[in-house]
Amino acid sequence: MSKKQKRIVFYSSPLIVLLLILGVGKMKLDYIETNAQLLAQMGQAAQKVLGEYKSGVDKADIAKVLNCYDDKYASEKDGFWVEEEDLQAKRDGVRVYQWKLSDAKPFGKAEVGNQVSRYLKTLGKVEESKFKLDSVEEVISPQSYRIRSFLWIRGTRDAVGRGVDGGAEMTKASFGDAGKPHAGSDGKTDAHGQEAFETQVLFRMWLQADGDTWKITRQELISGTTVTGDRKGFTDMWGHQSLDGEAANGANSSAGIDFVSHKNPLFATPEWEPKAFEIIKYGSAGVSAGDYDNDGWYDVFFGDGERPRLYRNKGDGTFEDVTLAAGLPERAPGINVGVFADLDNDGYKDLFLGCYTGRSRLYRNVADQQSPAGRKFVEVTDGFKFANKGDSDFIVVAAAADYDNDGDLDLYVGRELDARKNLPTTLFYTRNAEGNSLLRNDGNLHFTDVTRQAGINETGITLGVAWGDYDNDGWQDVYVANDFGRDALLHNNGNGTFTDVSKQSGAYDPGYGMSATLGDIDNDGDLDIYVSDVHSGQRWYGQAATLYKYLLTSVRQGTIYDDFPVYKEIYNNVGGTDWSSYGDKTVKGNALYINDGHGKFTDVSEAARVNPFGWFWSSTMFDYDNDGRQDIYAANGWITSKSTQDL
Amino acid sequence: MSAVAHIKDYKTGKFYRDEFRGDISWNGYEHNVLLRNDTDEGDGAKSANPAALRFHDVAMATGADDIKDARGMSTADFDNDGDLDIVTNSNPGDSGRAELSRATLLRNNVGERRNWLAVELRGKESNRDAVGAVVTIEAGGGKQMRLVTAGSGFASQHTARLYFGLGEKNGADSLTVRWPRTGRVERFEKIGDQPIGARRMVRVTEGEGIELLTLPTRQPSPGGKQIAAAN
Repeated sequence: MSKKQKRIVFYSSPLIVLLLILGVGKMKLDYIETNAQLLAQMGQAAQKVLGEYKSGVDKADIAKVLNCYDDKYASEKDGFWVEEEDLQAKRDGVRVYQWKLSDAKPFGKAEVGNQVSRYLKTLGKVEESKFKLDSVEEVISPQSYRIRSFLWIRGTRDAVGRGVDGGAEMTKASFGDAGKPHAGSDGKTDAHGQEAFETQVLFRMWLQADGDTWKITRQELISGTTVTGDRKGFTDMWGHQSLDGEAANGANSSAGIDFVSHKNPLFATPEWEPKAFEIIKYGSAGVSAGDYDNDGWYDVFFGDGERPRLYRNKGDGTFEDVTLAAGLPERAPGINVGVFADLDNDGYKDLFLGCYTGRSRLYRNVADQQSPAGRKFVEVTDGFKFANKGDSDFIVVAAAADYDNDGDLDLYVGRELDARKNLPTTLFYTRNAEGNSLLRNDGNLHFTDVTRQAGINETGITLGVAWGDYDNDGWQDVYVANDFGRDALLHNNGNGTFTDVSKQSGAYDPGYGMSATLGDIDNDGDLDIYVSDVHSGQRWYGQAATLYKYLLTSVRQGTIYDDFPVYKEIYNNVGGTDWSSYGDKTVKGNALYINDGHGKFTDVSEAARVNPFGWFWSSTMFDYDNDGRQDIYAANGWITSKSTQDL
Repeated sequence: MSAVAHIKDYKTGKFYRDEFRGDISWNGYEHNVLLRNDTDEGDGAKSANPAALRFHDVAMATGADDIKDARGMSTADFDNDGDLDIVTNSNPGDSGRAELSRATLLRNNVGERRNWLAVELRGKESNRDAVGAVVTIEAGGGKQMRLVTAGSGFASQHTARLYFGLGEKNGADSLTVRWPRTGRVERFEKIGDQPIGARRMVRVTEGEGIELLTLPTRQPSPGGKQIAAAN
C-alpha cells in the first residue's frame, strides 16, 4: 500500500467500525446531537430548580419552595408523606424511619403547600442540605422531562412525639395532616427535646417549561429515610490522651496518633511535575493495621506523600510514633501503601511499602532488644525486582496472598498512570496506566515478576486490590478496582495463569473503582464483592446521549484514532446493544455483587441501598455492632478547596 | 461536563488542573457513610435471597460521619474490647486547613455491648499468616464467614484477627477453618471440654488444634505480652 492509501485506511477504518457499532446514519447522528444538547440544557434547568428548592428548605421559606411548583401541579396518586418507624432498625441509640405515602389521593398545589409547610415545621434547625439531580429519566418533549432527584438534609429537630427510646408503639409523623400531632410521647431526649436527624429522599419529578423557567408539575416519592441518633456509637478520639477517655482532654493527637498527611513534594520538582494529570497530587494515601511486634495490640502504618509513619500500640491505651526506632525512614516521598505480611514464614510480619514516585521497599522483621517493641525492620529491597524498569514503580496499592499454593505469600501490586505524560484515556474507560504486577515469592524474601507468565495484562488505574477464592476451587482469585473504569475479576486457573472473568461472572463494574473488598455479607457461605465508585449526584452527565455525544465529538476532533482501542474493548465487554446505558452505569455509585455460590454475581446495590451519593475511597465489610450481620464503612470525599462549595 | 464537548481540551489535562477548579471543591468535604446491615434474617438464618438485603446509613446517628476527605481506611480492635475500631488517612485537598490533614481514629462503643468471638489463625503447611483462609462459625442456627486478608480497600489493610458478632448468643456451636494451601477443613465444636464461649479469643494452628485465649488486657506501658508468638 502507498503511504496515502495507508493513511486513508488509518483514518477511515475506526470511523467505519464506529458507525457499525452505533448502527447509525446521518439522521441518527443529528438526533444524537440534538438529544445531547437537550439533555444538557434540561440537566442545567433541573439543577436550577433544585437549587431554589434547597434554598427554600434552608430558610424554611415556604413561598420559595412553592414557587418551584407549577400552579397546574396535579397528581392522581400523591398523598401526604409519613415517617413510619422501622422497628426492626431501632437499636443502639439509632432510629430509622421510612418515608411512605399516606393514602394516595389526587393532589394539587394547595395540598403540596400544606405538606411542605408542615414538613418544614418538623425540620427544626437545618445544618447542611443538598438537593441533587440524580438523572434525567426521560425527555418527554423539548418542554417537558422527568428526573430523579435526591434531597439530603441534616440538622436537629424536635424529638417530642417521636417516642425516642420509647416503647413498642409505632410512631407516625405525618407531614400534612395538619392539626394531628404525632402519636406517642415519652420525651427521653436532650434538655431541649432536640435530636440529631438526617434525611435522604429520592424523588421522581416531572418538569415543564413555563416561559424561561421550569416548574415541577408532578412528583412521586421513590424512597425516603430519616435517621436519628445520639451520635455515641463511635467516639472521634481527636483530643483524647488515651483510648479509654470519655471526653477530649486537650491532647494534640488521637491517643498518641498525631499523623498528618502531606502532598508529595516531588510533584513540585521539574522531574516529577504531573503535567498531564495534575490532580494526582490529591490521591494519597492508605493506612494499614497490623501487629508487627506480636504483642496482641494492633499497630498502624500510614502511607503518605512525604512522611509515612508507623505507630506502635503500647497496650496502655496510647500509640507512639516508632517510625525511626522501627528502622523505617524519616522521609520517603510517594509511599502510598504498606502491607504487613509474614513473607518468610518466621512468625513475624514483614513490611512491603509500595511507592509511586520512586522505588518500593521491602523490610524484614527482625529481633531488636534495643527497641521498646523488641522488633524492628531491616530493608531487603534487593531481593525484589520488577520486570518493567521505568524510572519509578508507580505503585499505589498492593495485597498479598498465596496464589500458587506453595505455602508462602505472593504480592499483587496495582499501578497508577505516569501523570507526567498521561491522563485517563477517556472519561469512562481507561487503559493507559503503568500496568499491574504479580510477584511470586521464591523464598528468603526473593520475588520474581511473573506478570507475563500469569497472563495478567491489567493497565487500568488500579486503586483497589482484593484477593479471595470466590469460586471455592482452592485457588486465590483477585479483584482489581480501576479508576475511570473498568474493574476486573481475575480467576486463578490453578496452573499459574489468570483469566479475566469480569463479564461472564456478572461482576463487570464500569464505574470509577477506588476500592475493593471481598467478604460474605449475606451469611450464605461464599464471598461477595463490594467496590467503591463515584455516585456524584450528577449522574445525568454520564447518560446515554451524552456518551454518544462524547463519541461524536471524539470523531469530529480526531481523538477517536488514539482512543479507538478502548472503544473496541467496551464493545467486546458490553456488545453493541448496551451503549445507551453505559455512561449511566459508570456513575451509578458503589456496587455490591452477591455471589450465588457458584461464582456468578448479581449487582444488588440499588435495592440494598449500598450506593450512597458521594465520591468514595476505601470501603470494607465489618460487623461493627456484633449483631452477626456484616455492615459497610466507606470513606467519602474527593477534594476540599478553600470554598466547600461544590464544582 | 464541558470535557464532553471539548475532548481536545480534555486531552491537554486542563480539567484536572487546580486553576480550572479555582477555589471550588470537587465532591469534597462529604461525610463518610456507615451502612448498617438491617436485613431481616429470621433469627440469624441466612437471607433467602439477595433482594432481601437492606442497609441504612447510620453514620450521622452513630457519630461515624467524619467529613474529612479520607483515602485509606482500616478497621481493627485497637483497644481489645471485642469490637472493630476505624482509622482513616485523610487528604486536605487544597483547603489549606491543617485540621483536614489529620488522621481520624474512631473508637467503637457499640460492638462491645454484644457478644463476640475473635479468631486468630496460624498456618503451618499454609502460609504462616493464613491469608486466604476462611473461617465459618455456626451460632444459634446462623452461619457467618470471614476471610483472612493482607491488603484490600484503597491501599489499606484490616485486622488479620477475625471478629464474629454473636449478638446475645453465649458462644459458637462450631468453628470451621478452611486452610488455603491444602484446602484442608478442620471443624471444632469444643475446646478441650469447654464450649467455644463468647467474648474470648481462640487460636487455631493448622493441624494442631484450637486454643482458648483472652484478648490482651490493659497493662501499664509497655505490656500486654499474653499472646506473644511462640516460635
